[in-house]
Amino acid sequence: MASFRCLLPQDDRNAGDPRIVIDQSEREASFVPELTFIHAADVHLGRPFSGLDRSNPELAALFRKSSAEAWNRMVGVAVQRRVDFVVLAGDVFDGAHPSVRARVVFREGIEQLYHAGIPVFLALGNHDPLEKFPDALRKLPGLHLFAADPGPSRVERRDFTDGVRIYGASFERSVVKENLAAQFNRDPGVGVAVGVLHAHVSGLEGHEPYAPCTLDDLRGSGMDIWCLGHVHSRRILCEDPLILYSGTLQGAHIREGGPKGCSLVTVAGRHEATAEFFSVAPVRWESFDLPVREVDTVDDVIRSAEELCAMDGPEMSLHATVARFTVVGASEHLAQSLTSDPEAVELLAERLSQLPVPAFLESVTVATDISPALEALKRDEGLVGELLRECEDAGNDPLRLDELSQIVLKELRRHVSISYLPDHYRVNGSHRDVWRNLLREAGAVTGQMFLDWEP
Amino acid sequence: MWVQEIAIEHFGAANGLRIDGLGPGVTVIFGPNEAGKSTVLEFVRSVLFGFRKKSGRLNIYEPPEGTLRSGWLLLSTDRGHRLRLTRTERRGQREGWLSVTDEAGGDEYARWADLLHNGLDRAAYENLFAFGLEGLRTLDRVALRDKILAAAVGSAGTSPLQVLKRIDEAAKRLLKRPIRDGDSISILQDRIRQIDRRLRELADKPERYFHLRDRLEAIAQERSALQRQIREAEVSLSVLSTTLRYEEKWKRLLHLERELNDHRDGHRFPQAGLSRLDELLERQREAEDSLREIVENVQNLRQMRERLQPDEALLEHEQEIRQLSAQAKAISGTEEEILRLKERARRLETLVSEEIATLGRAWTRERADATDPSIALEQEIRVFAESRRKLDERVSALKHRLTEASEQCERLRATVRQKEERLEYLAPLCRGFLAGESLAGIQQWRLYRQEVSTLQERLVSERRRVLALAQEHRELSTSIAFLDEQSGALASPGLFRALMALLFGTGIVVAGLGWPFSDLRAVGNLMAGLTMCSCVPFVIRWKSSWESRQRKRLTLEKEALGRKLRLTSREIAHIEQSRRNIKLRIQDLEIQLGRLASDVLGNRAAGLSEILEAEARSRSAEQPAQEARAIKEALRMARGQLDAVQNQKRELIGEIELAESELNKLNSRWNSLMARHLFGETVSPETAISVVLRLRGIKGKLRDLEAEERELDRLTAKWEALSTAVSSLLSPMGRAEFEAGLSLLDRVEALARASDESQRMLAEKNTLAERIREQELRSGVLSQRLLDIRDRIARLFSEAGVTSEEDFRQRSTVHEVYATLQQERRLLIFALTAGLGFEDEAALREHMGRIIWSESRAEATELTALLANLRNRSEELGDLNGRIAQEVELLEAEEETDVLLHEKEVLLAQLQKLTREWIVKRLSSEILRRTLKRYESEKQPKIVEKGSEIFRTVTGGKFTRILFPLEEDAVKAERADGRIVDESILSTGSLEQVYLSLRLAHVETLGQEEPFPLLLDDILVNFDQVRAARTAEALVKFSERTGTQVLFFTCHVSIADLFPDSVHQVSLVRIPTS
Repeated sequence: MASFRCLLPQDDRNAGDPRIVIDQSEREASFVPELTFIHAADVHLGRPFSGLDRSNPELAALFRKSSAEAWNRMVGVAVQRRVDFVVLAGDVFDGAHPSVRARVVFREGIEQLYHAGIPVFLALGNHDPLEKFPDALRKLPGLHLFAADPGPSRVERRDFTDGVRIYGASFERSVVKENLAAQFNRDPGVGVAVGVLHAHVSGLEGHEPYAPCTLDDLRGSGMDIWCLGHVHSRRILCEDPLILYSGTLQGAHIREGGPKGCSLVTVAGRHEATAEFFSVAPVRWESFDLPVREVDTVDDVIRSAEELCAMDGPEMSLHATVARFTVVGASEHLAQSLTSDPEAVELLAERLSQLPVPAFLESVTVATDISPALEALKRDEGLVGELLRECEDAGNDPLRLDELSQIVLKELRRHVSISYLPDHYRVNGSHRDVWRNLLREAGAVTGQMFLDWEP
Repeated sequence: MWVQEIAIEHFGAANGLRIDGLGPGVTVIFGPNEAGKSTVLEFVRSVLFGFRKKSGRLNIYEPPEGTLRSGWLLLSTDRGHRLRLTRTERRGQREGWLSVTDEAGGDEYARWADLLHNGLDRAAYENLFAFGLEGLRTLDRVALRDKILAAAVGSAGTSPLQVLKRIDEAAKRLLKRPIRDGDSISILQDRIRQIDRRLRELADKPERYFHLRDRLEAIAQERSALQRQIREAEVSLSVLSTTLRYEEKWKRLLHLERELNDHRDGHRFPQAGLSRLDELLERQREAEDSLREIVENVQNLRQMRERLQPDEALLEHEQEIRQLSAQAKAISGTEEEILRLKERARRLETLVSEEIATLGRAWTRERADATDPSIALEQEIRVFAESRRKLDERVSALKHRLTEASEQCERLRATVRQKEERLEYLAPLCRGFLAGESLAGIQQWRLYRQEVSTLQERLVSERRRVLALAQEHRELSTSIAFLDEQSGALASPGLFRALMALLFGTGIVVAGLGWPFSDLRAVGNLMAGLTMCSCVPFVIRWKSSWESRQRKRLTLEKEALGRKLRLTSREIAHIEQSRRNIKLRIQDLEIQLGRLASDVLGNRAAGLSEILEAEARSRSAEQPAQEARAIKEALRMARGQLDAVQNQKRELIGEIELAESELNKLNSRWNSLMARHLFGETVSPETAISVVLRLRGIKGKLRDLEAEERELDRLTAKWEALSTAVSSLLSPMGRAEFEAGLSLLDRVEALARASDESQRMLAEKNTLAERIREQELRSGVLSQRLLDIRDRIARLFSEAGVTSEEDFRQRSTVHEVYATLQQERRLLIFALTAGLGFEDEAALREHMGRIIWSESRAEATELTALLANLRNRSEELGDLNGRIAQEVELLEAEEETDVLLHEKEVLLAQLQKLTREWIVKRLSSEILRRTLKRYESEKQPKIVEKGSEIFRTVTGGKFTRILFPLEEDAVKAERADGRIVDESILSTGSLEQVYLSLRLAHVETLGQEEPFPLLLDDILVNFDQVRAARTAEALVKFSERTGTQVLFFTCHVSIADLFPDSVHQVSLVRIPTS
């Protein structure tokens, strides 16, 4: 594998002038060797894990360091594979004001890659826009920071015919609503054009529509490969040209489950790009369905949970797993015990923590939210049956549901700062599914209180 | 359960009050004021729940003169048990002690205690079951509401309001709970805010970090330059300092070389010569001393060897002497033993002779030998003696018991005589006493009598009521007739039709007057006529409608009156039936009275006076009769005892005869035994046992004597053998007279000692010869060593070039000084050459020879000062660098931000979890509240329905229902017209009716296993006559429906009369308890 070399003088390699000149004289016209590079995005250095309502000192330390560890592992993969360059598609830092530790980790990674002769091309995202990106990190040797306007960076490769040109654009501010992808244009005579952008491709739900674009916009730009960031799960949107989100390096909450890492992109010919996934996350988030049968004991269920968690990382060793279990099956008693009995939950957590790859219990929930006894009550003519039916009816009536949520939210805001609440508790009339479930749970809780009443 | 009888022993002023004959349904207890109605009511409460304790001005019904409160209730349970509940006040136990007994007096407390309280406390009981007018006005809304709500939920134990309260409390706790109970939303928010504040403080750390890194870089450059200068100055100073440091040494070297020249003679001298000489001289002296000592030792040893001369003959027979000595030791005590055995044999001989003599003159040694004093014989004699002793004791014991039995017979005969005399005396006094059955008959007679009296009173009362109803019947018939008349009056259409026809005709006429309608007046006439004609149909229709309404009203009224008339007729018939029943009952009771009087007194026509007289007679004869019964019983027992004692006496005589016969047989067997064993027939068992024991001792001693004689012979033979052996040894040695004056054993001992001495002397002589040879050998070695030492001393002197020891020592002193100087010189040259870095001594001497020492010292001082300044600056920069580097390191390693972010996320998760819980609780609360509201407005719980039904009955339909808003205190009532009125604007009577209705509904829905009796104290006084009557009727129906006993206390005859005739009525009459 040939190595890349950045030919621009240090002063030219800044955000204002992203153009890097390739020494065309050294190209060999007849030979097209294999080009490899790492595509990573959404590193979110310094991002804490969220959604864990309890902590364990050892695992907390592991969790704190996991994003840095994932970054270091990605750097290690690049060095080990002796890739030609690394592209980062935004959100390297989690916040606009990253901590010293995050900056040091980033700097050390860039330095390590620089010493290994691997240049890094960075397009900033909404979490670390240009206006707030630390000055001290802009001019690190080996780092090429794209400007806000899309433009190419050139890298020279002696044994590559037409050279490689990397196009990128950084977010100027946290919120960018313009279609940046549409502004990308391939220059004539470029051998391989790689686009790097933090953007939201239409059709992907659940993400802020920053730098929105469509697949056609991306295809129309003439890039051979699009390395995108912003969506935290790995997705290949198109294979020709190759358009992919590499996903985050380290999941930070239960919705970012499964293996996380970077992509090793290989360009065998000019238009034959493939991406290989490398899992680098030291901690994996996983959601499991935990089956329970009537005949099972708590020990049986815990053993099942252990088997589910006893996974081995496909690529790199896992340090820990964060697991959420949804109890499914017939044993209502067991499900109740596993969700409500602190001793059973503690036992499960302890057993999981003793696995070869320790698992940290995020939560245990039950799939069915209403017991048969309550179902029977619902058909009853009494007050409780009336109440349960009321919950059901109100949940199915958007007007009544909104009216109830409004009453509750109005009171809630008097006690809880809105900034500490998730979105579905902030806006009236939104997230009706959430409120429907809450209402159903309220009915079940109240009904259960009547069933289990002890004066 | 129902109260059958109430008996107050001591309670307030009502001492000895007893109410009996209470039935399981409704009973009206009538009594004027001060009769004790409230006392009875409070007494029943007290028996069930304890007497009240003194508290303020509360009447606790203490009896006068400090008597303790007591009394009892007789209860019948629905299961058919009859229980007597007795409560007795005790000192220190003011609430009293409750006992529950069954008809047989068995303790039933444990079985019934829980059921008696039915899960109610006193307050609840008083509120629901035993109240007066004042209590009626106080409704226990909380209990009632709980009951209503529980009925709504369908579970007796669950109150939705409590559930709601608990949900609200839980939600509230989630917002702000005490710190000790864990985190709340407010606490978590505070902690998150603290973290946010700290994170804001930490936000400027990255800038500081990069600033410090720039500083570090500048410092590093400056330090690098300083290091170069320092190194140069250090090199120069080092060269100068080294040279100056060796100035003194150089000067000392020059001085040494001059002194060495002065001591050149010390150059020739053997190495360590003086010490070597001293060592050789010392060794020479030691060798000479040792040689002299050895010669003296050899002489002494030879003299000692000459003096030793052992005995040859003894040495030759050494073995034989040793054997003899061993033999003599083996029999050393034999002589004394022989003497001791002879003495003992003699003493035994004497002892045996004396013991045989004590047996009697007839006893000789030969006879003693011939007898067999065995242990079996002894046992046989002892068994005989024991049997005879027991028989003797038995005979005497039987004789003693016979004497006692005779005495007891006499005593019992005297007692029987006395009791027979007393019975004869009591017989006339017992006449007229009535037994238990007769007394019960009299009691029953009185009860029947009382019932007859009550029934006769009811006959009179019902007669009055029949008359009233008949009057009401007549009035109702009159009213119906009147309504018929009114109805008939409505049917008079003739006149009306005529009037209408007239009006119509008039209208035609008036209209026709204007024909041909040529002027305005004519048109007016036409219009007026037409108007009159057109009015006719309207009037007819109005009239028809009015008549229809009137008819309908009259029909309804007639129907109502008809229903009432039928009811009245039915009631009259019912009362007449009841009166017939009462009369039949009276007849029946009178027959029973006659039968009882006949049974008890033999007179069917006996009246109350005869009955009372018979009772008095019976009471006066009761004591003698009881005494006579007791005496008869005692007499029967005494006679029985007398017979038993006489039987016992006869048995004792037979046993005595039997025992004496056995004694004779035993004596005969004894005589034959003694004759068989040569003891003679007259010997007693004790004597025989003594002779047997002594004979057994004599025989033992004779056996000992024989054994000792045999041992004496054996010892004498051994002694003789030793004496012979000694003589045969000494004679061949020619020493037959050796120590002839000593005993045999002493001679052998002396011979052995002499043999040992000869052996010891021989061994010592051999040892001395060996030591002499060793000393002679050492003497030769020492002589050779002396020669060697002298030769080595001579060689030393030759090396130093001297001939005597004195010269040798002087030369040694000179040599030492020379060697010291030479050594110091070598060291100095080495130190200077190595220290100053010269290759050899010549280069050193050339360099040192050129130095001007004062100039060099000045130059070194200047360099030292410069170097110190440079180092100080470098150190300062080093410190600064270290501090900054440390801070940078700390900043790089700083994890506080990450830790805080992690902690914040955990807290946020907890906060969101609690928030979610709170929202669920809040939604639960909201939904439950809404459901309850709808439930209370749309669906009436059972208890309110029942209450409404009773209230509707009592008010005759003027009110349709009661409303009990769940979250309000006020009760509401709905009028027939649909208006809902608050309890505050209801009349006193209506409000009391509402409360009573709710209470009755509450009691009915309690579902008690054994419902408490309902005790109502004149609660109808504020009701109007009609509602009071309806209420009375409602109470009767309530009692029938629920099986609850109702005891209604009243002081108003009119109220008592409101209850149906079927209701049992009791007057509060004081009957003293026995």
